[in-house]
Amino acid sequence: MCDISTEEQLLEIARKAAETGEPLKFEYKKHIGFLIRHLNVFPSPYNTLETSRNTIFLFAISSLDLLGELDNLLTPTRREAFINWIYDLQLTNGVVCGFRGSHSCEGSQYDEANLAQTYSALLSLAILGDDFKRVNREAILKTLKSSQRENGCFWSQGENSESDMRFVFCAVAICKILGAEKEDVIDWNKLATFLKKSLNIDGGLGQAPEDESHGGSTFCAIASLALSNRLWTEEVLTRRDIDRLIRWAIQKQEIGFHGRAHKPDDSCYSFWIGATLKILNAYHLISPAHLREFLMISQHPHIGGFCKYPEPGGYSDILHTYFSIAALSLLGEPGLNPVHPALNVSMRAADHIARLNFQ
Amino acid sequence: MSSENISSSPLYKDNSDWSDITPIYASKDEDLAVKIAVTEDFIDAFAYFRAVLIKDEKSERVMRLLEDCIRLNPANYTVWQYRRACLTELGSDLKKEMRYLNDIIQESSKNYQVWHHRRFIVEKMGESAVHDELRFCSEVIREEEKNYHAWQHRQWVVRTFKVSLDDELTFALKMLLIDSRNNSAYNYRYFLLTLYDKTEDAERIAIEINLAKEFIQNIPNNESAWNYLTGLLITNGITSNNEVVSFVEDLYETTPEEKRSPFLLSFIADMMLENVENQKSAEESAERAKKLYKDLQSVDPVRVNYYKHQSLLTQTLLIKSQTKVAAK
Repeated sequence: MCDISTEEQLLEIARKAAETGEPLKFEYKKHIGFLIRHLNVFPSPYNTLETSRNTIFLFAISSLDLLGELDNLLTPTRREAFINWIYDLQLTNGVVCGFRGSHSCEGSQYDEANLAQTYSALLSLAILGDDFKRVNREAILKTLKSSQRENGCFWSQGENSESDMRFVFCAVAICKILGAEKEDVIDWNKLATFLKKSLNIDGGLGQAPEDESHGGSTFCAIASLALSNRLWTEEVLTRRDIDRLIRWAIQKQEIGFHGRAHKPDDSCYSFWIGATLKILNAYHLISPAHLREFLMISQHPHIGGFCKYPEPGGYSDILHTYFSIAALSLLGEPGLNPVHPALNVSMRAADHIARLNFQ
Repeated sequence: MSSENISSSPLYKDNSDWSDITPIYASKDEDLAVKIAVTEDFIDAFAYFRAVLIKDEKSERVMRLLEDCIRLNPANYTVWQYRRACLTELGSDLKKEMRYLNDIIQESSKNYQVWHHRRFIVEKMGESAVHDELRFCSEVIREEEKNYHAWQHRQWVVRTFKVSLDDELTFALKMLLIDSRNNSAYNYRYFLLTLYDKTEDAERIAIEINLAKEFIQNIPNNESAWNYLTGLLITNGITSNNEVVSFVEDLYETTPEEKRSPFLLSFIADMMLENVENQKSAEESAERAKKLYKDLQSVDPVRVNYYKHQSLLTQTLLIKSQTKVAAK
């Protein structure tokens, strides 16, 4: 593949592979190597994720989980050490309780948990098979309740912090993981209004009311509705809205998927849009062959992992690697474990979560 | 003698001005599951940051430390949060902070924190910041036409302060004239209609419909323009506006078969489905829809499965509509 010099050539290879039925190779072994290396040390470009350590940890182990390699790689001691490391990031007596992304503010009044880190930590614990006995459920639920804003959305990390559809999803997912859907935690009247207002005239949803429709925020909204059993009841979206949303999502496929109209295909949207369609019972309407081959050309041919775009000379990263593997799982790539499209974790971990006992 | 005390190292641990602070380094345990290969200056600056947070020191030297931390990791929420606390306590010059932010945003325009911080400063400065703020957004958007944060920020400014609707419509139009496929700009126009209560204003909607038509006429294969047109009509149905119907039919007729855009074919197919549902020449409409879906399968092969599905749907809708007629 040394003579490939442009992105266009790569895209042409993918298109051809999809249309002639000669699939490209899935570099399984190289991806395992990539993931193991990251669990040993994340290279320096990850310094911007220093305060999101739970997230990058989740991407690494969740990828291995979907590839079916986690159990082979983890000794009981290392598993236990990982679990303890996650619990060390739990904060139970602050204003914002749950899990932090790092210890970098420890001991100060600025040391606070974050909904995204809490969501990631809980999923990692489930993947590692933890019993959740040390999770301070009450403190987390109290934080969730106080994090909901008047407009229905959620603060990520206490009042006046970031707030958009991403944190709606985190809040709903945390509530689901902790089995608190029937408790008085989320005000669904307010949240329903927020979601309805975020639906745009083109059929997709934005990060907040009047923001441009976006694959990531659309996933967050649809997965939230599915996790809370409100997707098909027409309380928020009508059947007609859903049909238009499916159309909007289907339009986002060029070879792979992109997140907004007229943006280039990006491997992570293979999951965001793909999972959305899966949840909406419309995954059979995509072109799976094109999507698969797009993901194949997004692989890094030497170091493993997946890149954001299929570009010669581009680098793979942990986020795009995880979402590409999850997307391949949705596609039913042989050898991969199935993924829960709304919770965004292996079915195995989702089953573990469903059987947790909090009483 | 004194020159010996001046260190050539840029690190805080070698800087005598900081000798009163005991840095707090990350322990080995903290790195157990996630170890990031951060650089020496990263370790150094954040060890001092951690110590400063606990001490709760708010001073000019801390402001400089924060700038180093931001340079090393602009995505650290707490660094920005602490900077806001310092700015407030020290009563710093907000205009200077804005100039600083301009530079940072140029470098990391897709970072959530920088825009979040900017909003805080603009809130503090109030109305006086609006003019510069809109200009700044324009600059960023001109460079990156679909920068989500920049459009969001502009919306926030317009929502928070009184801004002329006409000026903003003109800005969005300018962006569309540069690139009529800029989806963000269509979204921005509809945001303006919503904010200024114009979504029910027939005159305004007619202008928007014409705008979409013109862009479609120039470049028929434009998802954003078609989505805008559909969105504007959706409440009453896409066949509700006769002018649009004849525009679309004319476009179909005047375009050679091999050049017809999938969006054009889809739009007409949708019109036909609406006819079936409204029991308007239901059978003929269904036939035409199915023919269009067949054409679409060859011009837009990635969506073959979708068009097959739509074709089957057409059949079912026809049966449903005939059942309704029979029941009458």
